[in-house]
Amino acid sequence: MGGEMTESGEPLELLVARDGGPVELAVEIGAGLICDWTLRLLRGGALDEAWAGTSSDRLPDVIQLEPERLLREGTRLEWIVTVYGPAKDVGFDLGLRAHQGRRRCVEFPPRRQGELKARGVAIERGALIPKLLPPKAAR
Amino acid sequence: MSPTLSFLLVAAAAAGGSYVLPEPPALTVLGERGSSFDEPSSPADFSVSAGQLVGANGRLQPGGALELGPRALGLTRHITYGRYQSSAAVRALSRSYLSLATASRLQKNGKESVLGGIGLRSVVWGGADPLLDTGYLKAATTARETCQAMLSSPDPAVVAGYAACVEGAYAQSAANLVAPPWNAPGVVLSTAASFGFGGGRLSRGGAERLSGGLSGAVPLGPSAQGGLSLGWLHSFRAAPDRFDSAAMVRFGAQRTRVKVEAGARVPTDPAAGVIYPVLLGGELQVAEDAWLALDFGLRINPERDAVQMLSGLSFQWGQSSKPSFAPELP
Repeated sequence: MGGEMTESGEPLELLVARDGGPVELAVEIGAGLICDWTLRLLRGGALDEAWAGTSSDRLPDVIQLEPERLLREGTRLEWIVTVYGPAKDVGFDLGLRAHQGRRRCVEFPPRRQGELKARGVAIERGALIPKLLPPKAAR
Repeated sequence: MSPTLSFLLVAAAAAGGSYVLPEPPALTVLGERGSSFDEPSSPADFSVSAGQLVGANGRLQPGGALELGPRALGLTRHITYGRYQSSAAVRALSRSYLSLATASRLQKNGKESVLGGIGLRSVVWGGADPLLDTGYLKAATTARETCQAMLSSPDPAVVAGYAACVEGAYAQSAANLVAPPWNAPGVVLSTAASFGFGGGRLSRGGAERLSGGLSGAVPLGPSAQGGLSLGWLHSFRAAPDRFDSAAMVRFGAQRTRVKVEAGARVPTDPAAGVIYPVLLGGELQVAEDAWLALDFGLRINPERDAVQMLSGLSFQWGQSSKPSFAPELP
């Protein structure tokens, strides 16, 4: 798997309630592995802001974004996670959590499982398109 | 009475396997040492493997075995690098495996019944965990410092170059990471129970056996390993309880090994006689993730003037099935 950027198909919808409070995003990578993650907020194709973290300090770092910022026209969130393999083949299982309060913002949250070769790298990426959650559903 | 060549040859095809090397305890409690088993790595794989244990009629089928770790059930996703490094309990839990197995048994009335086994084994200590290698963190940190800033660039061309950058940087910085040696030390704790199923359903008072075991190994120089195991088996049926002990020496290299084992199975009823298993075996790595194991041996019962021949040939593949005391990664 080493070194290739893996992106799964279509971007996923990030359903945001305008009055639901901040949207919290966090990368989960378990099994004691080291990974780096980057979250890129794009507007109209141009980078607005990027956040980065690593599992070797205090993952999951939680990024909080206000609904107004996400719901602006042409906004897109890209996530990229790089998993580093130790000196032995190992499986990995990573996921992206997106919550607004207790509500899950993505119907089927991104989750990737795979095998990582010894001393190899796996790069997983995907995108989220924020959409306004209809007020009725938000309740 | 000491063993002599006049011993009665009882059987010529009992399974070989190992009395010291860790095997799924659900298999060993059924007496199925050395048998192959499935290792599902996801809930979907697990449902397929479990389907081999249960027939279309909803009844247990003999001859199936599987062992699954916490990753297969999605339970390791919250074990961060920091928690894994700081907690021995978390490491032991993430290297614990649940096993299920079935076997057939011929009853006195000539009908076949099914035995089911359930077991748990855990690498409670492993001396060569590649995740605990400080070089692993250094290698990842070097690759990150070299490349991760590219992902914060507004220029799409710079972002597109990230994969090549991080792949190259990590290939360099991780080149010196050393894989755990085959003879790495470790301690494995296991427990299992077996149950009888008459007509495919759990028999009344179906518990048959309960077992527990502790096995461990240490390196003996660069190309040998010594191991010891202690076990206990309680029978809910007529058979007496027994204590097992065995010692092992393995010689060889990363891909080819020869092992010699000798042990004693001591029943709590002296009339049953002590059984001494002696085993000579070999392991050969035939592909990157596949092993061929061959065993020959004798099971000697001087009390009954009986010798049982042991032999076994098994093909093992997958991460956890490599015969090793080193921690199997989740």
